[in-house]
Amino acid sequence: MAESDPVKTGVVGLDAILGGGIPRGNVIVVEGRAGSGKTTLGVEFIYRGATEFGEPGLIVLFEVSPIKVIRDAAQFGWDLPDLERQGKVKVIFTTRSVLQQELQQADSLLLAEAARIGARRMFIDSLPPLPVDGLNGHDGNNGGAREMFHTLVQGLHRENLTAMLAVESPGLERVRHATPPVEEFIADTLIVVRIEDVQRAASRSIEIAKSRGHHFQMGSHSFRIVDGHGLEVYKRVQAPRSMSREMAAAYDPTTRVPTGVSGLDELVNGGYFLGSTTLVVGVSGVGKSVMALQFIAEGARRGEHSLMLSLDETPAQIMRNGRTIGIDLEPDIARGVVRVQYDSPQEIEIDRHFAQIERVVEEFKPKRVVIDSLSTYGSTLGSSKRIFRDFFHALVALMKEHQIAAVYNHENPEILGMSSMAGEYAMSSLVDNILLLNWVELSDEFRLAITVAKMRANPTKRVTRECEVVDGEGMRVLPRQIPPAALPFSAYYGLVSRSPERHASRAPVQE
Amino acid sequence: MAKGPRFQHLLTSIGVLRHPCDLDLLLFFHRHPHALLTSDRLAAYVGDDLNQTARSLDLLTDAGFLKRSQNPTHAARMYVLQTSGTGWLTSLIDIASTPDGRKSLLDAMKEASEAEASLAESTQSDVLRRTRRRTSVS
Repeated sequence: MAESDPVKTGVVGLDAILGGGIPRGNVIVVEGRAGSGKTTLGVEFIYRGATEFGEPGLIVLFEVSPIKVIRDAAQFGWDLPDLERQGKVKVIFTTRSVLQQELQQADSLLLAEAARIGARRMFIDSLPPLPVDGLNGHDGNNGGAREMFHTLVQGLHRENLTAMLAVESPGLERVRHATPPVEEFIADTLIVVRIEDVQRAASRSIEIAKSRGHHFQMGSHSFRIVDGHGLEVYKRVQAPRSMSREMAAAYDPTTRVPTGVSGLDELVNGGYFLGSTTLVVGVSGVGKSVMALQFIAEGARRGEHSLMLSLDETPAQIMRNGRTIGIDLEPDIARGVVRVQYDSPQEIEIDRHFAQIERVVEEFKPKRVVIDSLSTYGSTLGSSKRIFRDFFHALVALMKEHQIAAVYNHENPEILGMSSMAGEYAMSSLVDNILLLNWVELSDEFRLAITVAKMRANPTKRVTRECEVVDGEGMRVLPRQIPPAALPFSAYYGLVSRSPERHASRAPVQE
Repeated sequence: MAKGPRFQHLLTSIGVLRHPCDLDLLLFFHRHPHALLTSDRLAAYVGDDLNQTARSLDLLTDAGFLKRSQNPTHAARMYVLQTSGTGWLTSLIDIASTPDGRKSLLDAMKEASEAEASLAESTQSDVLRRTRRRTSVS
């Protein structure tokens, strides 16, 4: 019964983490300190039950006056008074001791109210933190608190109500796995909500610490309280997704996606594979975003859905940049072939951000995606390289699952030459193709060089070729033999090693 | 006080509120339309003594503002505010939401209560006087 008839919370993203819902009849404890979102979660549990799943519910309050809960709920668009008029919800104010007595009485007034509206759910807000086993509570009465919690749970079981109990946790996080408090033993489902300081910002997280009778996604997931809507939970980026995503690969070795950069397709055997991951590495201003725009514009020209995800520049700036190289994306956006999505890198929450990318990929179904740039993620996510790698891994798996040719720009800090392909993030092994864009100082000028450093499952010459960005036209890779105004790269050696030198007596290579 | 007649009118239309505890209970039940409480807890919430709270609860219940469960085996009772057709409650709450408004309301209630008492007293004196006159004539 529990497996086939779970109680859905209706909270965006939460049921997916709960494996579809919570087994009916489970006593759910939501633990968190003040302001962590316990009441909003509980009220939404009741509201969604009444409006989306035909399950009336009771809200029992001890401290907050119902009028305030009703007012706060209205901010999310939840009209509790209307649901009360319809007999789908009832908000009751009482005390903890009365509730305890009521749950011990066969003719309980509270349960009679619940029966009157056919309640299937109950939210109780809130219980004080129960003492850690063997220690006294605030009132020095461990046994009393324990007894009260037992009575409460037994009463709820008897009535077959799926109840959510908010439990205040102390200001400081309890040391988990030491001696868990009483409610953690007795509760069937334990949800911990937290609000944490992250580099002067606040970040909310939710964790299913325990839940009897079903599978759920462990770990700490992000959530937000969204005005006009309620809670939105974002599965942690590291959490496993579907098996199809886990097993995804660039499994079509014939279809190539042209780059849109004149002369580049020749170097990459006609284009990138579908489902492949390409890293374009270079110092700032070297032309990575220009290449990206041309890749997107080429997709639009072919009628392929093309998506540009930017952390660096707003859509307006991207449009302006495009126009300077003869690319006008606006008509393609208007006809729905191109989408440009921007997210501010300030205070980015990686789980939410990844959920947004998942959503747009699933809805828009692009064939090409550009991410500009990975280095901004690196700097935004702070010192944790592990989080960056997990995010990038998840991104690559998502793109492969949807067989998208994905191009990731990555800023390398070295202005001349390169000593590593992807800097400190050690992600080279995850990518199929690596293109190095590099300045070469020859005589008194910087000239632009491109090297295909890696092409998985492809023959690669690994030659370094000159390229240029022409106003109104964009980037093009020059032929190996160029007109003799300047000596071609083939007249030099050591182009990427920061010390190019001219061959003493070698003539330029003829192709 | 300029606001006096307005409050008097409101109180006349409400009809029954005479004691500060009556008002405080009404405001409490506005904030807690369904409350399952013991009367001593209610008395503590409104800050009055148990006897006065009991009298005020009876008054509000008899006037039809409040419905309460009648189950002698329960220490707590379920109180449900009966708000249908009582648009005056909104006006009352608006007025009582400021310290000045609340004070004015309480003053008006006191005046109404005193006027009622004096009316009752004079009525009683008239009756006594008429009774005495009738006795002396006979």
